[in-house]
Amino acid sequence: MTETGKLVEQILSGDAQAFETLIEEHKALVSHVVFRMIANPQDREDISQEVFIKVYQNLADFRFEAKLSTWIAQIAYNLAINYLRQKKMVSLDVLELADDSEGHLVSENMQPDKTVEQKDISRLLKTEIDNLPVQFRVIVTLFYLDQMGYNEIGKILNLPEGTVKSYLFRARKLLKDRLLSKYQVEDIWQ
Amino acid sequence: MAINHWSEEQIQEFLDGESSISKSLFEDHLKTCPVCRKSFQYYQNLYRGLKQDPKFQLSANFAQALVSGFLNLHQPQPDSNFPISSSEVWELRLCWEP
Repeated sequence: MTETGKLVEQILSGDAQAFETLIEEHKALVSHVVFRMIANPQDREDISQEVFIKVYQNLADFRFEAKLSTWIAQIAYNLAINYLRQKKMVSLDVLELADDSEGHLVSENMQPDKTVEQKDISRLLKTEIDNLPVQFRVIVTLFYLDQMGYNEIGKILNLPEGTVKSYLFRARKLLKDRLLSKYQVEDIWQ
Repeated sequence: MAINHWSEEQIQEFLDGESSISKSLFEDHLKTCPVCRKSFQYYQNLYRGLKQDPKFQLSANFAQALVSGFLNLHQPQPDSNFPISSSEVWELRLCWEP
């Protein structure tokens, strides 16, 4: 039996310490998904708790057809989407993009007049990630922070692999274009 | 065949290690083409930034508090109706699809 299998068995037999281990092992993944999707600090914590409660309640149904981390991330994504829908913060046209999605590096009506320091780049990037469509945000996060592949991300978001790859490409292009259009990052990005 | 410029998709694929273009051909062009070199460097830095830990943090005692608060009340109940089964989670997701 795998380590994950043993852990699940221990939890199902009522081992609280094993459940705490599962939480510790997966809380970074859950926070990556939930924090990228939800802005309110208290709601982030509440939804993250709800994720693990649901994991616990449904663990007996987990059939190891996917990785445990994939299953947990699916629950986190679904709960966060549900929250956003309840708050009317996301709609069916979630992937509708602004007109600048295929824009040029520097738009004509926006001068890159803000000089930024290297230390600001992370903050600016975070802001621009938060401005992406919600699915783009999650894809970028799972790909870079959790080193997941297209297939695994596709399972979590219920999207075909090719769509995940296409969204990732569009997300990176949007980020690059928006950063270059708003800030003078050329000097420090060379 | 004359090479114009690498497309942004080609640059991203190269950085992802998924390019069908040979490394030497790609890099030789970068050496001689300032336009592609600049675009490549932008993406290279973007990739670096995306890998940085955003330091999302749940409360320090998140796991312990959750376990002590929750497990005292519940045990795994695969057949229970409370409050949603995993199959319902997937059904909900289907409803959420655009």
